[in-house]
Amino acid sequence: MRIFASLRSIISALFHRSLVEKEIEEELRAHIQDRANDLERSGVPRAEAERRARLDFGDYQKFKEEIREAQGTHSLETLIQDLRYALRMLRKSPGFTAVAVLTLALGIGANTAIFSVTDTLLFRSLPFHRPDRIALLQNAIVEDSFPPHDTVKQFHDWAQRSTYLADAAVFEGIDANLGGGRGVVRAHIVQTSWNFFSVLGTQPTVGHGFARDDEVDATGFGLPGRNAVAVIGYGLWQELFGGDPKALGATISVEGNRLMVIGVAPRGFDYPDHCVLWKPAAFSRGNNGWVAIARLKPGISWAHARSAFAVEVAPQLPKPAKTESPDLAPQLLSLQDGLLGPVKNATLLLLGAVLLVLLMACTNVANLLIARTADRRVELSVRAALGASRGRLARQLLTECLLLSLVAAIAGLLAAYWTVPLAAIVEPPPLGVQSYSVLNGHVLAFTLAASVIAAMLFGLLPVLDIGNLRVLGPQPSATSRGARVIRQAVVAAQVMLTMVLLSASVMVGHAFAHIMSTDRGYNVKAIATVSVSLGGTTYQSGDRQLPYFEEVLDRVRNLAAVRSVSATEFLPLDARGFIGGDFGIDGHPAKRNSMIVPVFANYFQTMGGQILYGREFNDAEVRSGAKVAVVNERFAAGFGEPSQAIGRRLTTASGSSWQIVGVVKGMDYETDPTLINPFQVFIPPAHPGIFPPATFVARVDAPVESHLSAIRDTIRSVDTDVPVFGAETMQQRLNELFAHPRFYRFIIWTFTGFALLLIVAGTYGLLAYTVARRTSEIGIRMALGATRTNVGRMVLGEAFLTVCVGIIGGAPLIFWIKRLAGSLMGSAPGSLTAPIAFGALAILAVALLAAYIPARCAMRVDPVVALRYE
Amino acid sequence: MPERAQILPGTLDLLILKAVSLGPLYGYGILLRIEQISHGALLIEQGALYPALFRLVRQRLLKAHWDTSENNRRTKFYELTTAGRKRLRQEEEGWNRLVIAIASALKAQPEEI
Repeated sequence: MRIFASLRSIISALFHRSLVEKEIEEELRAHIQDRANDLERSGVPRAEAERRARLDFGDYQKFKEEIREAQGTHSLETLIQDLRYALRMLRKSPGFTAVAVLTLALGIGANTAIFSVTDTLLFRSLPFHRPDRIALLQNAIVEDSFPPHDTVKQFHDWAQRSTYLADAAVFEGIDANLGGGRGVVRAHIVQTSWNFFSVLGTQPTVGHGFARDDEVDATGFGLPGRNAVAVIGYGLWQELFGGDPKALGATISVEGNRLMVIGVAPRGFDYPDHCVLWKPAAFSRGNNGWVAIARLKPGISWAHARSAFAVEVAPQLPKPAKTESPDLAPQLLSLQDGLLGPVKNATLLLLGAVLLVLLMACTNVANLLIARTADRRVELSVRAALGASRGRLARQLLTECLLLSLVAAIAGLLAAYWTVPLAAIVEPPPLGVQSYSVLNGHVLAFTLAASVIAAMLFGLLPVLDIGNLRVLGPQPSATSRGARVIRQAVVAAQVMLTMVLLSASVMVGHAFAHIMSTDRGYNVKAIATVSVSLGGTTYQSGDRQLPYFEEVLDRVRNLAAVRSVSATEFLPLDARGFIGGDFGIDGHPAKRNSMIVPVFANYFQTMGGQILYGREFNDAEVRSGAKVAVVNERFAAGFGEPSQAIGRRLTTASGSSWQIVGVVKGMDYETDPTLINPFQVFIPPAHPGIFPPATFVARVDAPVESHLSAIRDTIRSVDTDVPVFGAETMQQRLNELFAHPRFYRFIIWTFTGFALLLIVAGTYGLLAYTVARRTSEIGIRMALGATRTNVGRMVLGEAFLTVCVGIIGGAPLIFWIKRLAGSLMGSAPGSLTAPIAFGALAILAVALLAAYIPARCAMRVDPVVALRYE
Repeated sequence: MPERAQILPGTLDLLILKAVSLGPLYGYGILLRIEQISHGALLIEQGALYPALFRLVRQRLLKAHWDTSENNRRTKFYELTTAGRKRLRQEEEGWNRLVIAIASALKAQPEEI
């Protein structure tokens, strides 16, 4: 109540200011009047009485000011006064204001942008029921036995028996051809256990979810009318049925199988992986594409669930454990963390880096401010002499800082508003309902807090400097040791941070160049790729597939720019869900499973792969379905001299066999070197029935991009009903795969550029200011015989010393940043000598460049002119 | 005129509360009342009275209202609130304790130590 009352009195005091003011005047005047009357009555003449009464009363204005202060309107009024004054000061020095606002706006804007991403990904909860209780069993199903899911019953029994999970669901995302509307389209769909929706706590908005007996124990699509059902996404519902509830009961074709629509998912629900359709899972043995999610039992803590899971999964793990990175080990994660994966750490790391940038911006503005406060000593001491307390002056300076910071925050928000959409391109949010937005409470609060804290940070040093203010007598010179050491320390700190960023830039740039130039066993530059899928089309049946492929290959081969063309089931770097096989030679099994890649004739010639011995398949072998194979060198080396493998038989445990006609160098089918399967076997597509999805590859003349549409249109011209998608050059595919490292490199380089600019501004500010302050000293030195070179050396020497201190201080931090850079780029950067040397040289060069102008100014000082001022 | 003592810092509030406790008063009246009850022994900077009055009103120890005085002029009167009365009692006790303590301290003789 007290607060309300005083607030009311403040507000009424503000609004009725003139009235209150008048009443105070009235009261005080009455007092003086009464006093004068009394004195007159005691015999003093009227004029003298009035004079004495005023004298007795004391300093009228001072007491009036004290009354105002006692009334509590003071602080607000002071604030307004301070703000007006601050605005005037900022307008008066547009150069300083522009540099300070720009520096801060970049810092705050970058923070806002990164925070809005972090907020969406990490801090806002997922749009499911009690999302904090949903777990992802990460990579639990690596070795096809855990959780048990050979049959429907096995899996659900396991979930029901669990002591720490209330329920669990499995699913598998697949790309499929969807028919039902206009033509056949390629879409991402998911097959789930029947309880998928209930584990998430989301129910279809129209219709219902799956029932217990919708699942089937077979690799099939269920029985018509029973489990051949689907829940469709809201978007698909709008697109195919115009949002009509009569869609329930309609059929939709998935890879040529007709499924009945039984429900529509809520708007924006597209978990997992932006899928558009959910269908019941067909359980079968050995499916390693499954993902499991679960809901924790009520009352079970995450720590408990995690350890219980670890205990349960341990005996299922293969021994010895594969040499996978620990991030991929089976573990129970919260769904939110699971959705993010490695992005989580990168996001937090970026947030840290961007805070560092803001810190640097703050130090720079602090440096500028100290210089300016020193310039304003005369003004400040006049104000102090007129009765302003130190606190009052400090408040004035802080108000100026806050104003600067808030103006910068607005500019920063605008900058973030324009840049955040870029982040959505590099790292789209995992769920459709999530989006990166700047204009929401969390982000605005963060920006406000960041700007206020920044203002406090960069305002602190100048305000502390006020302590040295003297009202009378000579002002302590700003070149006094203390002030200068502070400013040098600030520049040195900037150098230190920039040193870290610069070396990180070198490491990251080096790592990225390494990634992009790695020899992956095929030609990246000249390959165009286009995918098709025959599922659900008229070519689905086995005997119609080969003619389709031959027709496409023929037509593409005849294009002018195409040198060579072939096709494969899946491309290198895109080995999701590859087929593995237990291969050997002449009945002797290889040490481990091999990956098997079905390819057409001329595949290696087209891809630029290296054939070491023998040859690859020809058209006749592909057409006749000849049992021939090509193996890679590593596989062949397991059975003696690789060149001797030609002509031997490639065999499987189940008795199939192929004649080996060639040995090749092999290709990188994964980007992570530890995950690349060293054993690769290439065979012609099986007969009858090849494979529904396939990718055509063509080696074309440069520029590759310009031929993509011609190839795509040619393939489409064979049959417009076949979905043709993914027309990209191999280089584009590679770039997409490494979009994250590329983005991190871009960000770090941007930050570094920004930091270098700050160093230029900081060093220049420091030296220009010192030189200006020391003009007379320099004059005396020159009058006493110092040469221009001596003076120039003195100024450059100061810059050199400051920068060296920063460089030496920053060097140890680089060892620490090395690990972070490695984790960002997915590979450890090599030696540290180059980054450190480059960082040190670049900073020195930049700082000396910035010092050049002040040094020249100092050298041009004319002793006669300089000394005239004193 | 007897020799006047400069009042101790912080005692002005106490004097004002005491003066007003004897009946509602306007500004100049408070000054006169304090001179009267202190037998003119205290020297008060007259203007300093008003910031103190405004402060006490804001602390809700006094309340103020405008009224017509005996000579028919619009005048601002101050009177004690309940909180003010309580505060006056506390301050009086505190003051008396202080006076006794200081007095006995000042009376101390060398042999007592």
